[in-house]
Parts: sequence; C-alpha cells; structure tokens
Amino acid sequence: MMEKVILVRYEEIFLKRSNRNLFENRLIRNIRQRLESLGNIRVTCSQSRIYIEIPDEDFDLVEAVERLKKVFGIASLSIVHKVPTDYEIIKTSAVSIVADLLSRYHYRTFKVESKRADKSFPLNSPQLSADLGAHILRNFPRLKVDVRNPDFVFYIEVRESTYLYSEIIPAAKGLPTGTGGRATLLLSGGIDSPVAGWMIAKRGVEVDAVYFHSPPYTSERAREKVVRLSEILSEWTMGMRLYVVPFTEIQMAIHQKCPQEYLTIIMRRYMMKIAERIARNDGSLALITGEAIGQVASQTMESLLVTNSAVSLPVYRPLIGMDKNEVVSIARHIGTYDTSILPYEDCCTIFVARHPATRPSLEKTLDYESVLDEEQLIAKALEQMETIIV
Amino acid sequence: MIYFDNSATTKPYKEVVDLVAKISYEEFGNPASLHSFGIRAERILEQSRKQLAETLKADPEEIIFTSGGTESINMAIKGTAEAMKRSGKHILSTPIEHPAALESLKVLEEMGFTVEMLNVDDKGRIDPEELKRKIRKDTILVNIMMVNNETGVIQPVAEAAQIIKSVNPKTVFHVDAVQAYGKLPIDTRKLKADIISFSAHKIHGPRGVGMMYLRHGTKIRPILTGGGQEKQYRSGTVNVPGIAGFACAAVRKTSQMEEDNRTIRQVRERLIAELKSRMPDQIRINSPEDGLPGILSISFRSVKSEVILHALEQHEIYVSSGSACSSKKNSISHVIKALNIPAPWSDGTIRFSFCGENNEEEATACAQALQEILNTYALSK
Repeated sequence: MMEKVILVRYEEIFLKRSNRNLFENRLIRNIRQRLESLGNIRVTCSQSRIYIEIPDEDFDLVEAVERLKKVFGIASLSIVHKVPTDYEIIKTSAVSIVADLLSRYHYRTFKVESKRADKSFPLNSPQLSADLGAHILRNFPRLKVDVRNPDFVFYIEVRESTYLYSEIIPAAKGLPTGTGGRATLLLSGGIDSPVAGWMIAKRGVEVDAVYFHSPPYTSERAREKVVRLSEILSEWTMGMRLYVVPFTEIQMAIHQKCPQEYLTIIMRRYMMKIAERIARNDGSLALITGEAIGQVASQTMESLLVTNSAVSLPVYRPLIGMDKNEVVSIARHIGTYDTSILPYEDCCTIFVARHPATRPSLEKTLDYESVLDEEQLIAKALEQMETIIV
Repeated sequence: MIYFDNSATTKPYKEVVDLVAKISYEEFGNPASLHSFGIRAERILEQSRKQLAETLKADPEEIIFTSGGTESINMAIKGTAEAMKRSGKHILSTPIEHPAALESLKVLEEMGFTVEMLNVDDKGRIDPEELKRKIRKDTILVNIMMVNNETGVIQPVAEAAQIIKSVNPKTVFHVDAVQAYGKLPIDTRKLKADIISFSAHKIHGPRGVGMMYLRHGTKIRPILTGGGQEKQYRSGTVNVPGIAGFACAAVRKTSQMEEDNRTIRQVRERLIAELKSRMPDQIRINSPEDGLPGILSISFRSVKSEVILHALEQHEIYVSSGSACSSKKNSISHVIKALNIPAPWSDGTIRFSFCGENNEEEATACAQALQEILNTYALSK
C-alpha cells in the first residue's frame, strides 16, 4: 500500500523565470543520468518539485540518495511515503513511519505540519495537524508535542495522493550542471584545486581538468592520485575530461635558462598558457585555479598579476579570499580531502628556489622568459598530451 | 625489463607456481581434518616441514609456519617478551632492524620493557664487545638481523650467539634471517640462536608464507590464538599449498646457492665497475665489500633517489630508493640515517638487489641508463 518516492526540492531555479524550463529539464536529465544505473526510475515534475518514483523494493534507495546529494541544483530531498488519500490509510501509515523513525533515533518530541492541496479532503490543514498528532500520541505515549523546537517534524501533504515524510535531507544546492558553460581547471594533487573546481561546477558549469605531469620528478602514483581526485570530482560534475600534460621538458628548460627566483612564476605562466590553449580548443570560457592570496610565494598579489598576464581568458579563483581551514572543510565535504593528503607529493621541490621572488616584476619575467622557445615547448607538450575521460 | 629489486620481493620459480596451483586445486584438504583427504594434506605439510628443516640442519619439530617475515618477527619479539617478563624487562637490539622488529619493540616499550640499542659503525655493523658489556642479568631478549635489507651488511650473529649464551644463558636470541636465507649458509647447529625468522617470497617462493625456527626448549607465547594449529604456536588453518611452494623454493635456492652467489657477485661487480668508469665522482658505495653480494646500496650525488627510481622505471629498470622525497620533508630511511652518510649523498640513495636470474648485460644496461639519467636530471645550480 505504501509506495516510496523521492521528493526533490530546488530553490534557485525559481529566480530564472524565463529560463525556468531549461533549468528544470536539465536538472531532470541530470537526475536520470545519475540514477539510471540503479534501475528503472520515473521522474516527473509538478508544482516546482520533482518526484522520483522508484521501481520496486529492491531499489537501492540509500545509494540513490547519496548520488542525488551530489547533483547540483537540488536544494533538499525527502524519502516520501505515497499513500492513497484515505484518512484511515493515512493514519495507519503515519504510525508505521513514526515507529520506524523511533527505532533509529532517540526522538522525544514532534509536531505535525500539514498542507492540504486537495480541498475536497474533509479536514483543513490545522485540523489535520491536530488530529493526526493526537493519533500519533495515542500510539506512542512516550512522545510529546513541541511546536517550537521539536526533535522531528512529521510532514503530510494531501494532494491527489497523500505524501508522508519526516526527514529533509540537505543537498548540494547550486545550479544544474550544464546550464552554465564550460571552464578548465588547473588540477594538482593538493587540497585547493579540487575545491576550486567544485565551487565553479556548483554554479552549473561543466568542468574539465588539466594536470601537469613531470616524470621522473613526479611519480606514477602522483598521477594516479590526480586521476582519483578527478573521479571524486566527477561524481559532482557529471563526468569530466582530464588532460595529462607532460611537463618535464618545460621545467628543465626553465631551470636551465632562467634565474632561480623566477622558476616558479615562469612555470606557473606556462601552465596557464597551456591550459588556455586546451580551454580554447574545447570552447571553454574560463580557467579555474585554487589560488588564494598569500598562500605561498607564487600566490602573492604581485605573483598573481604576473601569472594572470600570461593569458587572456578570465581566470576564476574561487578560493582567493579563503583561509586554509575553510578550504579544508569544503574538501572534506566533497570527499577529496583524504585523497589530497596522500603523501605522493611530487619532487617539484627540486624546481623550487630556496628564496623565490615574492614580488616578481612582469617586465623582468617577460625578459627572462624570452630566451625560451615557447611555441616549440608548448606545441610539443600538447602533442604528447593524454586525455582521460573520467 | 630489468628487475634489480629482489630484496623487495622475487619472481617465484615456475615450478613453485605450478606446485602451489596443483596443491591448491587437487589437495585442498585441511590438514587438521580427521578424514583421509585431510591426512593427505597433512602429509604434504609434514614433508615440506622436513625439507625446510633440513636446509637449516634443524629438527622438523622446531619449525613453525607463519604468514611471513613480519609475523615471524612479531611473534619472536612479542612472544618472547610475554613468556619471559618475569625474568626481566631488558631487551637489546640494533637501530637498523626491519620496521617489523622496530615497531614491535616500540609496542613493548609502551608496555614497560626497556629497549636498548647497540651502536653500529659506519657500515652498520655491531661491536661484539659492546654486546658483551650490555647483556645484563635481566636481559630477556637480544634481537639482531643477520643481513640488513638496505645495505646488505652481515652481522656476526654466530659470534653474538656465543657471547649471549656465555654471559646469560637465559637470554633469548632472535635472528631475523629474512634477507639471509638461501643466500648465506644457515646451520642451526652452529648458529646458536633460539629463534630465527624467515620469509618465502624473498627466495622465489610464494607471498604470504613464512616460518620460524624455534629451538627446543625456547618458550614463547603465541600471538594468534584459536584452533591451536602448529603445536599451539600459530592458530589458523595451515596454508598447505603456500608451504609446499616455500619448501620447493627453499630446496632449490639453498642447493644452487653458491652458483647463484657467483652470478650475483659478477652482476654486482659489473655494475660497480661500469659506474666507477662512467661517473667516478658521482657515486658513493654504502654497502660493505664483505656484505651480502645481492644487496648494493649506492648514493648518487645531485639527483634525488626518487627521481632516479622513476627515471629508471622509464627504462623498465626497477630498483628501490633508500630515501623518500616529498616536498614537506626529506625522509631518509632510518638505516641510511644510522650510517651517517653525508647530506649531498644521502638524498640520492638507491638500493639495487640482485638474484641468480640477473646477468652482467643487465648491469651494463643499468649503468648506461644511470649515466643518461644523471646527465639529464642532475640539476647543477
């Protein structure tokens, strides 16, 4: 009799009046895509809510919820019991739902919140809340009603069918992936860059990533770590492309021909230039980096100015004003932290000067850089680039 | 592919793999079962025990099978401490033991035992005189590895055994012979150790199998309890196919030991000679000349060991590094640290470890690759 449905709520999409259909359709498409491997679901949309009807009892509801929590555009979720709009059935179902809830949580207080969309139902909303609340109290004498600060709220919505639920699971929020264009992330093995990519992806942007690989200075394990990070990110970004660019030769050339204290800054500029070429080729509209002001020598405002000048595409730096611990807490939330801190750090330190310039000048940088055969170095790196579909 | 990482693990002999497969599939009985099918497995187990005991000139009764070197070492150290704690709490060891020993000793320290480290010289060798002075009435255990896994230095364990027994006959002497077995003769009638630890996969045997020699009369307390297999010392269903594979590998390895060692010595000498002629100023040999020929530790100036390792892997040459490089800290192994290798060298330490299946051409190819690597990646600034 009781059928389970996942109720999906979205908020921000409301704001986009003229584009609303586009956003809703995209969100529904993304939900379908994320859940299709779990079974035959039916996704419908009515009155600014999306309902996911699940095929049968065997459907892996827990996994479905975990996946949906990573779909941008969803504000919150509930697992809803759908029953016929018949007050006797509603009462029995309510009791069994509360019994299940009390077996899992130590709840003491509750309240009922009702919404009556079907005006032919005999009780109005306040009456329904009072009456159903009383029924629950009779069945669970240890519970108490608390309308101000209850341990749980029992929601009932009377429509053509009646929907009963008590838990509201917060989800990713943001905008549906694919509604915002494409951007290219400079992804390293660290904590910051995956977070930066995630923050831009949250705004509906499709994200691809570029990783610079410097064997033998960086190990195969460091590369695998980046692949793993892209896999974790791609659970949020609905898949992504990872470009692995061989970078050893460029690093060696810079090391041989440019002054020590400018190594890092020139290296960063090359990374930006290569990422920009890849981005333009993909129709990507911006670069994303995990830089924050003052985090390391290459991230002072002067350094950022110099690296920024290497490219003409906009560079998004969503972490620019954040502290490390703020970034870490997001990294934990999105699931990249434990992988980011694995100790397969590259040996790039060899290419880091003991005292890198913290206030590099653009003029000097351009001057030092001019000895390098930029076109040839970049062309060769791009030619040997590897593309991984994650 | 050139595999110079035989101290990490070895390629199993083909006949070992075949035997393990055959016994796994055909003789899958549990040797503890009462029926005849179990008894067949038990027969294979006891036959293997006998063969392995023979390689050590030991009584089969003195052999206990384990899951490998780490388990044997853990049981030797923790099991002895538990069994002997009423006689004393003093333990002697060297600082260049395998982590399986050092970490076990750390646990004992936390439990209130006193662990004292013997000094080692710049080759990693202990001083028997110092050992003699340091053994006390309450010394319950002395723990020394026969061959160090990073440098190949050979400890005078037979002499140490005599000293220990003459000063305090009650002191238990544990020898970690994981790197030595099959490469140096081990005769338990001459080497008066009480406990010796072994591993199968270092001598072309299967992974996940090891053994412990436990001299008659030595008391240890088991660390795994359960069904009481292996005379109560090591509970758990006995890994008959693995043990048969171990015996097969051990018989072959010990019987061709001298021949293998000759080959290995040639490979080692070729590699050293090639490196000395190609880059005399850029190498420093850390292994003693009279060490185990199969282990050769060399430090390279001005290139970090991980860079060398990954560059060699591009040539399909596989080795180990004696130090790990990370941008956070330069973590040099405790062994390299104990040898006081000067700083410009210690960062670039590589361990080459050979087996009887390597050859001199491989050594030349390796030296050539190293020369290229040093020319390309040595960053002189």
